[in-house]
Formats: sequence, structure tokens, C-alpha cells
Amino acid sequence: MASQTILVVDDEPGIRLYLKRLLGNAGFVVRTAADGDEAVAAIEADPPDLVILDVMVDGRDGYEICETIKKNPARAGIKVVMLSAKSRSIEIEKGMALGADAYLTKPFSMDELRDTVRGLLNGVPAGEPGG
Amino acid sequence: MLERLSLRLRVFLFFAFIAVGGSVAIVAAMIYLGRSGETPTLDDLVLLGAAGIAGLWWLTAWTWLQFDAHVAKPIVAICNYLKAVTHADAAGEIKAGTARYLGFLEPAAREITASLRETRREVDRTIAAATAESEAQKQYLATILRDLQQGVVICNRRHEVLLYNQRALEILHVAGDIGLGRSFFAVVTDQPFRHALTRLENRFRSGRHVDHPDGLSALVIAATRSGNYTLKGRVSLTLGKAGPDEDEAPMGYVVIFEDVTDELAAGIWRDRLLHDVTSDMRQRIANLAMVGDLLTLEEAIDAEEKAAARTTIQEDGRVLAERLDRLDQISSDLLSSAWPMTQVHAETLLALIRERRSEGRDLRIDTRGDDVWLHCDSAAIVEFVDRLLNRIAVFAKPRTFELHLTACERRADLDLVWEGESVPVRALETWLDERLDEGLGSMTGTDVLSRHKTEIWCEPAGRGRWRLRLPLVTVAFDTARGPAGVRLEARPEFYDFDLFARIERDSVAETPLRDLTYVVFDTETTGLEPSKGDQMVQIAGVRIVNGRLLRGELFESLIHPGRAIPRLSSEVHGITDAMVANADPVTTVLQRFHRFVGDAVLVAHNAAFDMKFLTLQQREAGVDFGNPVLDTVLLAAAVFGADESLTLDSLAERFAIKIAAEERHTALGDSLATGLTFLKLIDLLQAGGVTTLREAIEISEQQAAIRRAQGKY
Repeated sequence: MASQTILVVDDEPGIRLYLKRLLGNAGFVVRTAADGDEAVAAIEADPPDLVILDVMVDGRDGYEICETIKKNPARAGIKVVMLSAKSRSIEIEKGMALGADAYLTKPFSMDELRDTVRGLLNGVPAGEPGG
Repeated sequence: MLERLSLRLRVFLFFAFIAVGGSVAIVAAMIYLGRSGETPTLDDLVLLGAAGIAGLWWLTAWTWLQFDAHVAKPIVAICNYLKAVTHADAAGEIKAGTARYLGFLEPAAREITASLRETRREVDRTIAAATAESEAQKQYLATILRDLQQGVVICNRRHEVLLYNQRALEILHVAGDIGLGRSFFAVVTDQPFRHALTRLENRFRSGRHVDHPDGLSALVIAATRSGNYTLKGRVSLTLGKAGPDEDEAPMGYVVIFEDVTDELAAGIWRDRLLHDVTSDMRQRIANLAMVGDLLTLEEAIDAEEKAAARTTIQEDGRVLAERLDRLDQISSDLLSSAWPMTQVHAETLLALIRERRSEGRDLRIDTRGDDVWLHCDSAAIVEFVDRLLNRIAVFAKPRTFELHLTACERRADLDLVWEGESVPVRALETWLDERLDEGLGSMTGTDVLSRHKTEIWCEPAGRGRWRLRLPLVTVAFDTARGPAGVRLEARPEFYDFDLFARIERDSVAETPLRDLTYVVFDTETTGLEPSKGDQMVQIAGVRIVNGRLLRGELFESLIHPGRAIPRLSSEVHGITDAMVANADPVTTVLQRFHRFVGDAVLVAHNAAFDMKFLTLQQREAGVDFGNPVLDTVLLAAAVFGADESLTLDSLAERFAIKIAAEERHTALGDSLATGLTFLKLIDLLQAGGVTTLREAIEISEQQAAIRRAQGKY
């Protein structure tokens, strides 16, 4: 089975590096985008299997990117994991309402993220939104 | 026939009768002696003299009896009647035929009272017309005070309450110990107020209040006497002139306050939490910094060090996130307490939104709300939702909206539902950045969301419809205290500014009767003999302050007598064993009654009886009813004479006091009747020169002595 592709969208270079290393070690092909517009362009150019979205990313925010992905029937199959420093239940609910498949609040552990991503890509529901 | 003769002729006839009778006796004796022809012996003379004297005594006694029955007694009755009408405005008429033999005295008395009553009615009408306006203003004042969210209490310089409003009672959580003329410090701690008042009086004396930003007011934080509630308020000095030529001086003070118990508790909790959270975070950050240093060391670290570093990073990272969540909660609480958040019912909020419709678009808005209270800045929410409706109307062009407020757990979702196109995140964010109504300052939708610590988003609502969901916080009301709570029944008397001018006297005994505070009380018992184990089953009392019976400040309590109530007693007062089954024991009730009485003068009808029951168990209850006592029976005897009927019923009838039939022979009904009788008696006593408590007690003691001598007491 070909390696599954993940697009990491975060404006923090450190987080991008960290996630790339972590998920790469777990056997995924990882690409990164530093802002919303770059992310949308990357998705259009080569749709990944899963997008890890920071909610507070520059340009179009995570909510908008998620909405863009999920509204396009051709792209709606792409899984979306939202990462956010916002941890209130209403914010998580908003992310899920906009079509996110999972919502992880910062800080999260490596294991947590890896399990969530694996669960989504293996067709296993992510279950409880992380946090 | 005699009744038709003039009064003077009749009085003359009494004396003529004695003269004629005496003469007839003497003449008859002389004829008797002369007819025998013999010289009368000494014995005959003595016998005859004795018979003559006896005849004369009998004649005099008979004449006196007639004089007493037809002249003296009727005059006394008419005098009492006139006194009662003149000084106590008693109703009723003099009994026809009371003074049959006193000529025109009875009709003359009747005419005088009729004329007096007519004059009084005239005066009453004039006063009623003149006071109608001030009464309306009083009502207006009462309404304003009742609806105020703050408690208001006005006191004189002796800290006696002159005015209070309903909210003050609710906040102080008392319904008995605060009352007109009572000390404010019976319910709140005095030190903070004394401190503030001293400062204010100093400020006033030095004239600094003129330029002081707070003028003659100061902030006070105090507690209720029970210590359970904290009050925050402002105390302001009231100035007035004791006389026309006097300078203005402090006459008392006004306190406006609110209950900050919950606020304060929340504040203390927040401070403590902030301290814990921040000091703990510092430690965690230090740990992480150390691990960072370790990991960036040039030399390689071993497996054990790596594992330890990993544990520290994971554990401290997790704990720091938790601490941040708590800080977030604290800031959320602080935000909502800083903004004008209010409690608004779902239906009200929906109606306000429906009616706002600022751009006058032709939209149909159907609303449906759960029965739930929301904690929000309703003005901001209404503007915000109105703006959203207008924007969606332009963007998605629906003609109909549904507005739902659905409660779930601790929140309620305000949903704006329409059919057609969804609102993209970008469009919604643009709308959120717009400024709302000018009246709300430069506030935007994002500010409204941030203030309410909430979010808004668009999601499918099924059947081709979309909804904007705005979750809001709900609030559960404590019905006893909250805005939706049951208010205490409005009290009929809530102020008495005459108390401002009440002169403090060193001696209660020398205080005028009108100026004293009384508690008029009555008891119902299992029987008439406390020494044989009879007990109280009910006690009631009513306060009289400054000559006014305060129907709003009553005491009434059933008492568990600790024994069965005889059927005959139950028939008198209507209190049965079942009614007192859950009542407090006498010791508890006595303690409460003692607090109600304070240092007032006790008044009862046949007080000796009630006082016996009251004092029987006072030691056990740990109280002492050593207050001065007045008895309406003895006072009435002093006014009307001991021969008159002095039952409560006949006194009430004499003074035209009306107590509902169902209230009579209840402790409260009889207390009210006694209280009203007592006020009338004070008028009559004053007219007779008895003006102070000492004098009233003196004449009571005289009456008690007379009654003891007669075996009536």
C-alpha cells in the first residue's frame, strides 16, 4: 500500500518541523504549508489524504480551509484534524460543526496525534475529539 | 309624671320630701303623746325619739338611693360617655333612658356629641382632601423603593430605622428583627458603619465635604449579624435643621446596599486559584526549561536521561495546559462580571430581537424558546442578532427566519434558521468585524462573542436549511433571592420620619406614653392554670411605634405545648393537637419572641395572666422578660371606673374597633384589638393628666390594689 499523504498547515516553523519528523517516522509522506492560501493551493495541486490544520493560521483561517475542503464534493473525502490552542468546548464544537474529523487542543502528545491520524486514515472513526 | 317636672323642681322635691317626712314624723309623735292625756315617761320619750330617728334615717337612706340611682350614676355614665367621645372618638350612643330624671342633660349630651362628631367629620374630610396628594406621593415613593434593586435603610442618629424597603429585607434575610424604630445594628455589624459615620461627621464638621469627591457619603463593607452575608453599600449623612434658627447638622444617615456575598466568595476563590495556578506554572516552566537545556547539551544523553526528559515534557506540558484552562475560566468569570450581564428570559430575548428589526426588511420571523433564563448582555445580543438577520437576508435572500432558543445542560443555543444558501466562514467573519449600533460604542460582533466567551458558526439544519448557532450561558435562579423570586408581601408601614425628631430620654419611665415603643401581645393556652401544667399553644404580638400600630411588623407562632390540648380549650381558640404537631417548643418560640420584643414595653389585656405564662419558662429559654408591663384592663378601669365592663369585646365595641370575627380569639386578632384599644386609652389617659409611663404604671397599681381588695384580681 502506497504511503498516505498528510498536509501540515501551521504558521509556526517549529511545529511544522516537529510534525513532519513525527509523522514521517510513523510512515506517512508529510508536506507542509505555512499559511491558508498556500494550503488551499497545495490541496488543489495534489490532494492529500489528511490535513492537519492549525485554526489560527495566517490568511484564511483553519475554519475557512476546513469549510473549503468539505464543501467541495471532490475533496470532501480528505480527513481534517484541527489543532488549536482554543480549548473550550464551544470552540471544539464549532470546528466539528464545520466538518473537522478530529479536534486536538494544544499541547497534545505525540502518541495522541499519531493515534488520531492512524485512526482516521484506517477508516476508524477518531471517536472522541481529542483534547 | 315625675319625668315631666323640671330638674330643679325634682331636686327640690327630694329635699322637701325629707323636710315634710321629718315634720310628719315629729307631729305624729306629738299627737300620739298628747292623745293619751298622761305625762309621757322617759321611756316613752326615748322610744319615740328612737322611732323618729330610725324613720329619719330610713327616709334619708331611701332618698340617697334614689338620688344615687337617678342623679349620680347617670351623671357618671354621661361623663364617661363624653370623655370617650371627646378624647378617643368612641362610636356608639348613650343608652336611652340613662338619665331619665335628669331633664335635658341626656338629650343635651347627645346633641353635644352629635355636633362634635359632625365637626370632626368636617375636619376629617378637609384633612382627607389635603392629604390625598401627599398619599399619592407616598405611594409613588413606596413603589420606587419597592422596585429598587438595592436595599435602602434610613436611620436617625441613634441608628433607629426610619425607613426600609422590601429589597433591604430580602438582602438582610430577615422578616422580623428589622422594623421601624428598631436598631439597624440588630441585623448588621455596627463597627464598619460607626467607622464610616465618624469619618463623615468629621468631614462635615471640618467642611471638607464641600470639595470632597464623595461629599457626605462613604463606602461600607459590612456583614449581617448572622455572619452569613456580606453587604457592600454606601452610607450618606442626612442633614437637617433642628429649628428654624439652627444650623444644619447631621440628623441621621441613608444606607444603600447590595448583597455581595457570592461576588466576594467568587473573588476570594479566584484570587486563591490565581495564586495556586501561577505559582505552580512557574515551577513547571522551570522544569521544561531545564529539560530544554539538557536536550541541547553538546554531549549525548543516555537512555535514562532521555526517558526522564520525555516524562517531564509530557507531564508538565499536560499540567500547564490544565492550568491554562483554569486561568481561562477565571478570565471568563472576570469578563462577565465586568460587563453589564443580566438575566433575561428566553422568550423576552426572542421578543426583543423580533421587535428590533432595525432595517425594516419585510421578513417573517418565527420564534420558539424554551423556558430558560440566559446570562447575557441582552442589548448587545439583540443588536448582534439583528445585524446577522439583516446580513443573511441580503446574502441568502430568505423571506422567513426561525429563531430558536434551545436549552441543553448549562447553555442554550440561539439558532437562526433559514432555507437556501449557507453562510461561508469568510462572510461571517466579515460581518463579525463590522461595528454594531452606535449606542453600543465601537463594539463589533467579535467583541460580543468574546465578551460572552462564545462562538458562532453556520451548519446544516436538515431539509435544505441552514442555521447560525450562537450558544449562550443559562442561569438557574435561586427563587428566594433572584429576580424571578417571590417577593415578600409589601408591608403597609415602611417609614416613619417622625422618628428623626424623637428625643432620647434617659429614663423610660418619664417618657411620654406616645413616644414609647410597645409590643402588644396575647397568648392562647391549654388552660388557665400554668401552675398545674397548662402551657401556651400560640403567641402573637404587634408593635406600636410612635403612636402607630405597625400591621407590617407582626409576630405569630404556634407552640408545641408538650402535652395534649383539652377539647374545651380547642373550642375556645380553635387550635388542635394536629395544628401544633410540627410547631417549635416553647423555649425556641420564647427566644424568637424575646428578640421581637427587644426593649419595648409589653402590653396585654389582663397582662398578669399572659405574663405568668411568658415568665414561666423564660429561664429555661435563657431569656428575661423584665420589660415594663401595662395592662389594658387596669388602664381602662382607671379611665372608666372599675364598675364598667372591661372585657376586650366591650372595650373594642366602645371604641368602635372592628376585628374580623374569624380573627377574634386568635392570639393575633386579640393582640390587634388590644393594641388599638390601648392607643385609644393613651388618648384618654393623657386627657386625664396621665402622660408618662411612670404615671400609667402608678394608676395601674392603684387599680390593681382596688381589684385585689374586691377579690377581682
